[in-house]
Amino acid sequence: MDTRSVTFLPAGVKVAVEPGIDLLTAAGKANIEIKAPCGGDGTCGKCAVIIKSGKAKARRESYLATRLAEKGLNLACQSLVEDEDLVVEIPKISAMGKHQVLVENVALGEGVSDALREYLLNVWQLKDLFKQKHEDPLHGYPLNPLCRWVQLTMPAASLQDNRDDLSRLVLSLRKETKCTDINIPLSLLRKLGDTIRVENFKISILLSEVGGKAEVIAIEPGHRHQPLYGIAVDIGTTTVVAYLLDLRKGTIVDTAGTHNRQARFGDDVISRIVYAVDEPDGMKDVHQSIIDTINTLIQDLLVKQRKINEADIRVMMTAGNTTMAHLFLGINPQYIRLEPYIPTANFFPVVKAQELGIRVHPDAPVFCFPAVASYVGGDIVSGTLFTAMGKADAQVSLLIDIGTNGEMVLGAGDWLVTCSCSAGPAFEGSGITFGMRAMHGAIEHMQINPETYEVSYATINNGRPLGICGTGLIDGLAKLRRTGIIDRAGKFQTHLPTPRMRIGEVGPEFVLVWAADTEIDRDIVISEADVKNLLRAKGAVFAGIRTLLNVVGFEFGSIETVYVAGGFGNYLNIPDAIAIGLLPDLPVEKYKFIGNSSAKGACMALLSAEAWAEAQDVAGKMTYIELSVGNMFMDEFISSLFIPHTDLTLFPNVDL
Amino acid sequence: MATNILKEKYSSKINTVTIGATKEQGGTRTSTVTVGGDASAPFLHYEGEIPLKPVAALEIQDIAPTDWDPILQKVYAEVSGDPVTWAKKAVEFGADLIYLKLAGSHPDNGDKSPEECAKIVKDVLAAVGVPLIVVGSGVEEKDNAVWPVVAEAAAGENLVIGSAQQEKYKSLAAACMVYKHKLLALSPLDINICKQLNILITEMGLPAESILIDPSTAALGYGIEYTYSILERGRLGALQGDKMLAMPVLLQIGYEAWRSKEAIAPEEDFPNWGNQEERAILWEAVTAAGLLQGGANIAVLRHPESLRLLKKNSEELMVKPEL
Repeated sequence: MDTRSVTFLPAGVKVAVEPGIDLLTAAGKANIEIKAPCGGDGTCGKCAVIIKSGKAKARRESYLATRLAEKGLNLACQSLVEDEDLVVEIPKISAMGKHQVLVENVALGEGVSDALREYLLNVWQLKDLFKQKHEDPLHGYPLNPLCRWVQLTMPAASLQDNRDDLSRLVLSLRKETKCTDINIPLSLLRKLGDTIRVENFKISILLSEVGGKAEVIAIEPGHRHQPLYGIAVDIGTTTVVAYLLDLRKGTIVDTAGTHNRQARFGDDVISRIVYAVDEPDGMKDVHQSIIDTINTLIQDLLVKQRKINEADIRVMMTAGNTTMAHLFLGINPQYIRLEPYIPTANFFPVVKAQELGIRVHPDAPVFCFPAVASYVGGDIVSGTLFTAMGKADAQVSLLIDIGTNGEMVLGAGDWLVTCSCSAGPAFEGSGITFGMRAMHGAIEHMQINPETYEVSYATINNGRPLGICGTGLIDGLAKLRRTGIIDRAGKFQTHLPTPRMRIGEVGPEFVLVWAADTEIDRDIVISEADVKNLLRAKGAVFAGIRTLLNVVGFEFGSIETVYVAGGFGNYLNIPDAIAIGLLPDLPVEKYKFIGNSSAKGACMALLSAEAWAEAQDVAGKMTYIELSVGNMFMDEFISSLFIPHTDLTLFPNVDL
Repeated sequence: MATNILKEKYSSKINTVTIGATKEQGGTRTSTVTVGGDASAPFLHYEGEIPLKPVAALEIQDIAPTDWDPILQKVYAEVSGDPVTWAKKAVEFGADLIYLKLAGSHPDNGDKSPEECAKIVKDVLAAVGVPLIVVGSGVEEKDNAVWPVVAEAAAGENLVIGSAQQEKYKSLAAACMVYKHKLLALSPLDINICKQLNILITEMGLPAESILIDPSTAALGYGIEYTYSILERGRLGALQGDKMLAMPVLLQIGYEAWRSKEAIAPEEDFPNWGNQEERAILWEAVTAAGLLQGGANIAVLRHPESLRLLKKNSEELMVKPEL
């Protein structure tokens, strides 16, 4: 099969592909990430590229493609390589870019701009971030990692003590571990006789003890000091973060974060399930792309930590939502999205790294956090573990992950209810005309003059504006309402005397930044459709909270603490979020940012078998509330599609 | 064993709204209609005051309706081309109010100018003494042009003008504010949107006491239970102090009932269903009677016989029981 070359600018990366392949896939092959929220269906228009030389064939005619063609742009996912070599330029607006994944690492602030850090600290009172430098990853649990070295000196074999090697080993181990159920795999048994005689019955055993069962992972001769590292990974739908842990000391060595490469199969879990199920090789591709993402992070960490080798990482813990866990392990996710929404498994087997192709020690056991239901997964169980909401003396708390899936947990001690409100990715900038993730050039704050409707704004890194990030959207919504540009239902007041208010291609829109002041040479606008989208996202979150409270017959006042989790949560301005009705009108001091609690819980579980046992317990205790049953959620949802809410008495302190 | 009568205690009640204005009040009506004031669940006189009985309006249109069933056409055959004589006929039949639909202002239906519409309203006002409810064609741009002109022409008459919706309420609310009319707020069978619309309108400055709720109606057998539940929920909300649900309720029963197959299918097509005329009248009357139990204050009907039945039913329901 002869191939064609595609060169991607500005990176200048050249890749050989077979004719008939689309440019989005070709870019993937070149390891270049192009935005594709719709998963390559040709419906979102975010993957627009410029074909500089050569001709590509359109997969099919579409209104969107025709409109982009007028501007000299082609949809990467709909342009097929034909019989010519191509040179393709990826405009800034289509490139994924290095967005801010807030990794609270030891050297805080990598990837976080000075301006933003200043902003975080002054405006959002996120002093916690600095504390995390010294935060104990064990979070109160004893250091008892899921994988440890045990040094044994066994009685030497003799004519008087003629036990077989295996029994000799097991009996000695029993004294060390208090485990009766000890498993030694065949591969180790084959070499056991030699190994234990190298240093005269002195050996080191690497074992993993879980729930009264011990699994022997490795046996080394002698009592040498063995390095022992583990890796905890939070597999987010959008963002993947890895923590490298020193299991002997119980400390975080380093962290790394990147976006989930599965993004090219769609922005949300549903479109990825559809891709995995419907496309030929879909499952393989989606599975492999998350494995590749994690391997890249591991490589990043090992490049930074030269003293540590791949083989020193002997155990891995992952936390992700139910779909991510299925795709990570290569389990069919098809029935997660089909009524009655049943995952294949909520509790996952421990597998060896080599089975998944994870680039750590091949025999390293890989643990996955247990899930609760189709749309409440291990990341939430992990976050709940971190908040200690499941502990006997816990006060009534609410944990909200403000993200695409919008999971939340309400409860105290022995009762926990949970749901997933499917807020959608609007706050992550997806589905919004000029929405973007929080990265260089994103508008994150604005002021609108109520007389002249002139806009002043602040962007991340003070870059020239590219679009608006989640915080900017929340702030913007509050400001549009405060200045009367929109009514409480999100309808634009089109008669306002300003050129910024106009009718665009898809309805009314308001110009935030004129083209001349942007990096993209287009007017950055927020449209009525965007506003309705944001209203639905914030409405879903608030309606989810109300539904959980209704289920247990509680009021807002009963909540002692609201834990705000998720990457986006860190950039959230609580008063703004309350003002638009995204979060309940509670005293600001009741809100607590816990950052990536999924990753933190994963670290805890890896460093402490007690925490891991607690996680199993918490997952078993959580009651999943199916929001699509009955009309309670729908009713709450419609009443939340209003700024701040239909029942204004719920927001006594909001004046919009 | 003495039985204790259990009584709910409510903190609030439905607004009292007067429609129409007599000479002394700056209008030209010979009678006005006042509805609302209910301080309990529908007709539970022993729990709270139900001071005013539900009323009924008959629907008339400015042009001869082509889509009305022959049974209705027969009743209004002599008058349906002329809103003035039609309105008089409706009053003869006993209508408490006239519900005038400006069907002829629809761009596809004659496209009458706002001034022509205003003249029709004036003519009807001159011909009858009962208060008037006036609604547009439902086409947003056209309604926005018609409302201010009609509102101005009928200034002082204290009409009810409709229908404001979540996507179009501003020009009507402004017209009602300036010319002192009542506004009819239409929502799509959703209590939350109903409430949101009332908030949007009151925030423009029109007082809550100048609003009537039209929650959308469904006919018997076609979703009446949704309407019923929403009426009930609105009433309970209002009684518990929700000011944005405390408006009296108007229901477009005639329009909905006369769309149902059971009202318009001739007997020869469905012999088991019995006589069509009786069936159709009862379909309308039963829809109305059922929704009266949900808390309707104004029923808009089409057939004079349904009107008679409903008025009788409403009289009987107003009799306070001896407890």
